Amino acid sequence: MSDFSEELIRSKTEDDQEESCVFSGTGMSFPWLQKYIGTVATGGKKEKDFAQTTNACLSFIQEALLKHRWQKAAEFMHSYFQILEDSDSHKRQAAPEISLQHALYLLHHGMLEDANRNLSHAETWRYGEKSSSQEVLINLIQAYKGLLQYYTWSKKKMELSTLDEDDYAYNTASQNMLNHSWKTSVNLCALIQTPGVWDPFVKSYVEMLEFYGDQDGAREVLTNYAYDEKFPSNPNAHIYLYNFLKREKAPREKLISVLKILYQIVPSHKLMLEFHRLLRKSEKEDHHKLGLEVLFGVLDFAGCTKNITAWKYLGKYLRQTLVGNHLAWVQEEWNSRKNWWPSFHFSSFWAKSDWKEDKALACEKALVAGILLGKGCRYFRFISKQDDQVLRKKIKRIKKSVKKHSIVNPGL
Amino acid sequence: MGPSPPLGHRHCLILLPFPRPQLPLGFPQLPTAPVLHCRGPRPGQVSGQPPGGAAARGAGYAVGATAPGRRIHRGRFGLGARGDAAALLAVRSDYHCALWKVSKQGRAAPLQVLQVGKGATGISLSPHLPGELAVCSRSGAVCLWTPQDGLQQVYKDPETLVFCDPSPWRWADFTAHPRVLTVGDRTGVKIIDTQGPPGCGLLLFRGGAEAACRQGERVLLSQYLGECGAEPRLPTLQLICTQFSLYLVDERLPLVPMLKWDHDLPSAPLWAQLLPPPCPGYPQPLLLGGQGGHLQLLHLAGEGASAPRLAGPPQSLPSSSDSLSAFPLLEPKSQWRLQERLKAPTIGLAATIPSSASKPVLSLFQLSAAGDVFHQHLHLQADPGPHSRAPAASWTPQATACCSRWLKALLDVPPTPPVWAAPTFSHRRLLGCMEQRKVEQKGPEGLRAAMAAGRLLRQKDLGSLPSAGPPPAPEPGPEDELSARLEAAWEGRMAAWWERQQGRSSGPGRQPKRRKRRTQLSSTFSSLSGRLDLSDATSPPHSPDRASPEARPRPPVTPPSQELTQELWARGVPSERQQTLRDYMARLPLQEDTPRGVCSPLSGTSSSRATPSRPQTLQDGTAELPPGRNTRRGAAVSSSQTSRQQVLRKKPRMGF
Repeated sequence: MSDFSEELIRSKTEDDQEESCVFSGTGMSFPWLQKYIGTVATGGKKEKDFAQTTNACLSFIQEALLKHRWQKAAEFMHSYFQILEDSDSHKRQAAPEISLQHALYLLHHGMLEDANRNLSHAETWRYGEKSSSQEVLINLIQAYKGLLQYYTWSKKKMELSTLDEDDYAYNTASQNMLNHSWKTSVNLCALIQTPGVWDPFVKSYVEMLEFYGDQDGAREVLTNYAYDEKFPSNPNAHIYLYNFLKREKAPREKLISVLKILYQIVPSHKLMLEFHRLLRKSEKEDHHKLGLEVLFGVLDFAGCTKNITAWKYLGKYLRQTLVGNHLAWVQEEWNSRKNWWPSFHFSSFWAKSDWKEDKALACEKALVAGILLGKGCRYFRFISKQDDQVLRKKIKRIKKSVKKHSIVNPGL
Repeated sequence: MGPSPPLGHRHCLILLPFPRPQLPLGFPQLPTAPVLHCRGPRPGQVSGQPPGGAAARGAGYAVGATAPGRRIHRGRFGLGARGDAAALLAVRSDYHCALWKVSKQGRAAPLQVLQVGKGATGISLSPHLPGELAVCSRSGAVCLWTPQDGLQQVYKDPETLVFCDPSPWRWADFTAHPRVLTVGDRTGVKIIDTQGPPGCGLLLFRGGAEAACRQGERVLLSQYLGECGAEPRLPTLQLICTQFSLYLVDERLPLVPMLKWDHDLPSAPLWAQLLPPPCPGYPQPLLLGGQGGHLQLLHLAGEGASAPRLAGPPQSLPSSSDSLSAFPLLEPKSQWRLQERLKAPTIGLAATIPSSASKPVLSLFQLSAAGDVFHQHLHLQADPGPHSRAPAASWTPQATACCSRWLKALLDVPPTPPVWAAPTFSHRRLLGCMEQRKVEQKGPEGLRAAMAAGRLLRQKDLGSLPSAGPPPAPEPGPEDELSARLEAAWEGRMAAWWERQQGRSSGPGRQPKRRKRRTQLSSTFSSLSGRLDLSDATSPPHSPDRASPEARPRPPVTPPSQELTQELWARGVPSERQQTLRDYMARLPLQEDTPRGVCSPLSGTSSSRATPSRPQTLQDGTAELPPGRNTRRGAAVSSSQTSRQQVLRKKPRMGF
């Protein structure tokens, strides 16, 4: 039992107004937790008997499901349908959400027609006064409908691409598509104005806008999605914008400015290697410096340690930078890493394991290790000692490079 | 490691996932071997084989226990060590953190020990850099610690992260970036860059609207999931558990959980472990363990760029107390001991998929607070179809033998007397309750004064008392209480007995309620509570009951001699004739007789007050009692039985 669990127990005995449930005879379970759930679910109101019964039934269903007793669960489920008659307003307000979940289930199982019908039902559900949370939910339901319409539209687009433009069928088909896209955009539009993460909706909306040539509209949607401060920071928003600008053949400066933000959010993203290439090609010196920073940043992450392209770029760029007389840039990056990169990347364990798994990767890493740590470093020593027929020439080249460029004791 | 009495494990650190010649013997194995992925257990699948090669690199979570006085150590092992280096184990106790080294032979030795003056609340071992640890203290400080370089404070904030909810609990863990940590408390989880300026950081999870949290929802567990296996599939994933739900949050997309699932565990989820996929292309098993021993197995799919999702239906695994059914039925006392033993809360969870096995097997170990390790194997099984039924749980012969040895060892150890703990009801509320009832003011005041002075409450503190107290009654021995408890347990009413036991200690506030209930209960129960009241009455200074006016009009108690006569009567009369006898006796003019030794002027009032329709119900109850039971009843006479005793006492004279 950790400290924290003790704290849980303690806080309970202090706070609890009904001491009877502290020792309820059920041993070590926490009856308070269950009770808590009960009051939370009903917003603190005392539950009616009916609600209690249905709740008990729900817990039976859950238990049966978790124990994979499907037959039993189905039997309980049969009884549970009574909840449809529940008069609790709280439950009624939750009805659209239940419909939405059901629709998502149907979507996952390819029953698109049924899902669409379900969403239409949910969309028209009203109970009591329309609260703001309900409004978002209705927007979401409409957006899912829009997504289904997008799917149909997308299929029609595929069909259209097989037809001849002069064909009569082409005109009807494209007219049909236009209708669909209009409905879809109405459905999607409302949701993506609301702050949130709406990746699939934004993507499909933009695709439709682009198809009908509304580049400005698409750009506006994407820019808003990426830069509006009310939205949560979302790396995908910047990726979509970048890809859009790339399709538009936007100038390099523009692309760099988008990726700069992505770099700040997710320095380990695979687009960072593309970012590095852009920076390398740029004429500005600070871009060159940033290019080095980006490579070091990528290799900081545990998931990128075996990215051979990144190591290749780093080895090459380190040489280039040092040849360009920018030792200070390298040292600046290295200073914050020299106390942990050696054991993170360049330990003798990694030397052995990399050599065993991927010799090309080991060679690229050995070059970087040699440049940054000198030829005495374990990783470099281990690789340079290996006698491999195929890689003999390469290892020799690496040794030469290290001797020439290493930032450690360059004189020796 | 041979069989040893289960209690012997209480004081040693148990390192679980190590290859041993044999599993630690003397531990019960769970009755079923549920499948890893599909539809339910299959008989004959429990394997008694030891988990060979279980010390998989980076895939272990070991927990140790200490003596009851100290809190539980908790740590992780094997994460930082790579390849040929020895596995490392981080251990935390209340005021100490330690780094242990575990050699290939499985021997553990401490490398360095750190004293944490304010108290340590969390420890994590870096999955990236061997020997680096993150340590949290109660003061809100988070430090990086390496044996070479010592401590380096990277964060300090005595306040909670999101909203004010005083809790000294903190937990730090690592992320995909070796220099970035997560710091969690009950309100949220924050990412901090240890190289950045102090105090900066980014909220990763906020208990609130973004995650659609419920009211009162609190973080109980935050754990980095990216450390699983050599090449993690989801290197940026963090697991956050609250008492209601499980959240998977991607470090790259803070505040918006990638996945939320209501786990509905009946106890607080304090353990989680993500395992590498059992076969290539399979989803990763994610184990969730509750404090009450509840286990859930989920399957996490998704790789690289795709979002994580739950694959297949989640499954609840049998918990330690479920194995009760596999033990032979014991006599009630032993059965109760076994049951209690199996119910002990879980204090550790470890699982591994040994790479050496030809077929993937998930070995699962659960450590209970009593010092037992429960073990179950999970086999990967082809989908048996939706109509297959879960087969009955069973043990293999080896497992049965192992468990019977364990049970023998358990029952050989003499039961420790239960440590009596003071009831946890606050004085303030107790007194408030009394005032509310508008009782005589002298009592509470006297009680309060006595409590303030820290002395015993005496009769003179309580003002006027009945001129004649109840006569001295025999003090019930300790074995009486035990037998009463056993009696209740035999009847399956242990819970009610315990509740009453609790209620008795809780003071006068509960007195009238209990009395009322007593009148409704069967005679077994009324006799029991009568005895309990008796112990109160014989030691006046001890009990606050005496302060209460409700308690004061206590009816006289019967000396043991009367008990005997009553029993003799009950034993001598065949049950079918008892009603006739009763009818007969009702017509006898015996009521005028004052019982010997019962001369309290209050007795009449109390008995008349408490027994409007008394004699009939109680006599029926007595008649139903099995005769053998009566001998153990001790001074088993409740207040309300007085009038009946007056009747019954005469019986021997009647010649029965």
